[in-house]
Amino acid sequence: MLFIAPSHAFAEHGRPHGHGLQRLGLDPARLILVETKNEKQALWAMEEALRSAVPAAIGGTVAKLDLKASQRLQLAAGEAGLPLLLLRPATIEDASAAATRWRVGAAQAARDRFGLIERTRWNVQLERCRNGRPGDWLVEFDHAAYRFSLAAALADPALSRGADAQSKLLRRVG
Amino acid sequence: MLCADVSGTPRVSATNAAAEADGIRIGEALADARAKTENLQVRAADPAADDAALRRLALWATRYTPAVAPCDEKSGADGLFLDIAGAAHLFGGETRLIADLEARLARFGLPARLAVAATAGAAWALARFQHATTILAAGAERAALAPLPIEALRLSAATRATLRRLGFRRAGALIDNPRAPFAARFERELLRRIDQALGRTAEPLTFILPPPVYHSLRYLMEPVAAQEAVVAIAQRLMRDIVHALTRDGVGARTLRLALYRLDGGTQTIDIALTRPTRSAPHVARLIALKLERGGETSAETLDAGFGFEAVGLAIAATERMDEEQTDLVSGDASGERGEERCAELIDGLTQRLGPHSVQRLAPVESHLPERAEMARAAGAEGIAWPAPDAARPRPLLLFARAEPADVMAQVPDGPPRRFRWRGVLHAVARAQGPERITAEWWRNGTEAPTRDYYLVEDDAGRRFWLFREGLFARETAAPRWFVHGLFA
Repeated sequence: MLFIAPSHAFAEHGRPHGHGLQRLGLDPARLILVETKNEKQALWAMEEALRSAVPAAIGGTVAKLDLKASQRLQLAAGEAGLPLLLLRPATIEDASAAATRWRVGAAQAARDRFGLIERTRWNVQLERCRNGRPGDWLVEFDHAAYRFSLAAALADPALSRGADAQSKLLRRVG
Repeated sequence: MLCADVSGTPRVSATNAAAEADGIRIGEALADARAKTENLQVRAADPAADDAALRRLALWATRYTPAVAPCDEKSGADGLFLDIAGAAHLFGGETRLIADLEARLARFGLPARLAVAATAGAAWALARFQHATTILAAGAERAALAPLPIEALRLSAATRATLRRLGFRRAGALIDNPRAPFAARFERELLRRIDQALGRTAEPLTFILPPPVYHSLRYLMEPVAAQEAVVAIAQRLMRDIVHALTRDGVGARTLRLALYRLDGGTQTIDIALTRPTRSAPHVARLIALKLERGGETSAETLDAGFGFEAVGLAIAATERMDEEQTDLVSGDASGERGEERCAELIDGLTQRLGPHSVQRLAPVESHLPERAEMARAAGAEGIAWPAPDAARPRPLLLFARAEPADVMAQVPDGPPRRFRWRGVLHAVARAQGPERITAEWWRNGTEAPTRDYYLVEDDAGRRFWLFREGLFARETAAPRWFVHGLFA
């Protein structure tokens, strides 16, 4: 697993912390961090890594991504058959050739009866998807089982039903 | 002529041919020299620049043999030793090599005195005290050195003065006399120098570049300047070496590509690999990536000048490399091959992006979060991580430096209620903690205050890792707050 980011992104958002990655069920020893001087180099590194088809998955972050660059990456990822996950600032709405676009937001975590965080939750929105329907879900992570799941019982029954209906859709897209 | 200050008096330190004709000798006072001749041009001597120039020349001279040693004070100042054993035949013999070297140096405008001998000491003496270029057959050192003055033996000034006072003028007198009285009367230096010159003891030379294990050099009919051409030649050189590598069961770990410019300059490109390799295309690709990076940083850009006339590839370090065991049925060895391809990817990224850009995280035994892990080169062996402690939350993203935040807390040593970080006000919905982490007092000079870490969730569900530095009332009156990390 490879994570590629320009150095200013590491300075702004912080560096991935091995002990924190472990808590999400990722083995930090298997992660290779690539720090580049600028975004152009980061894009080059992503394409290079995709073409080599060595890593199991590639993550990265870039702020500027024009349509042509995203087409190149999409092509390389398609040829290698590898997933490339690009983390981008939430404000960006420009066109891209990516297969899917997700918007991940924070959500109040589930609490146990002592008010401690039991399962952290996120609002996940699928905004764009080739051959699929967009939708949004509330996803939670179980620290004990290292497993992501859809938050089942919510306070709002309408939302809860929505989540059930859309879980089928997630399977179809995935 | 050049002059340098010797104990307060400017003295002549180097002369050219015209000054020597006027009778100016090295070592005399500048005032005396001025009295001997009018229109004397004097420049201050610059030993550092001389040294640098000699090093440059030594690098260039590696085009003849990889073993080049610039003479230092210990081995007898200003000059170069070239170990041409096993290299002379490539030039058609010692005579041809010397003629080629002399012609090239003359083209740079460098007058040189050259000598070939079986020992460094004898060559040194002949180059300095024999006017014609000499090539001495092995075994003839004694006869050749005998008529030379005792200075030819590379002795210290004090020893030389004593010998002169005793009436010794020629090296031959020292060599022929019985050794015991010399051993009793003089420092060991005298006999050691004689033995070195005659080849009775070995003289270790400090080569400017570590002598390579494998080496391949190609002289070009036409000088090349284009990057593609250089890369293509490097690939051909690597292919030449691969046979030797395969024969010995090793792969290259450290490579150096040396480019010899027409005007005497030398450019070297060093490449370190994560895993030993024998693949010529891989090496060529790494060289191309390194040169491309040079285009951006200008530190290692290809400066061809009038073109390169020779290209050498040396392998400075090797490592055992087992033959690949390919699966007979499927024709590939996926596990081993995958590891090798991973190393190739890391090498490629490192060459292009710089040495510290490709990293792997390794755990460190420390309570302080910022010390609890370190980045290591990606090629290094991975270290197994300890199992996480569920009671101690750790953020997904950690800031290299904790960022200060303005915090409102109900009580000075309680959890935060509201905080302002990066100009945005966050209202705390829940705070979990504190987890108290003390500074590592056993380290020298760490008087850092205790930290209380809180896992804080704001009303939008964003999770932060805040800490308060200093225990209220015990360590500080006004504790400061910092944001140290972000949770997923």
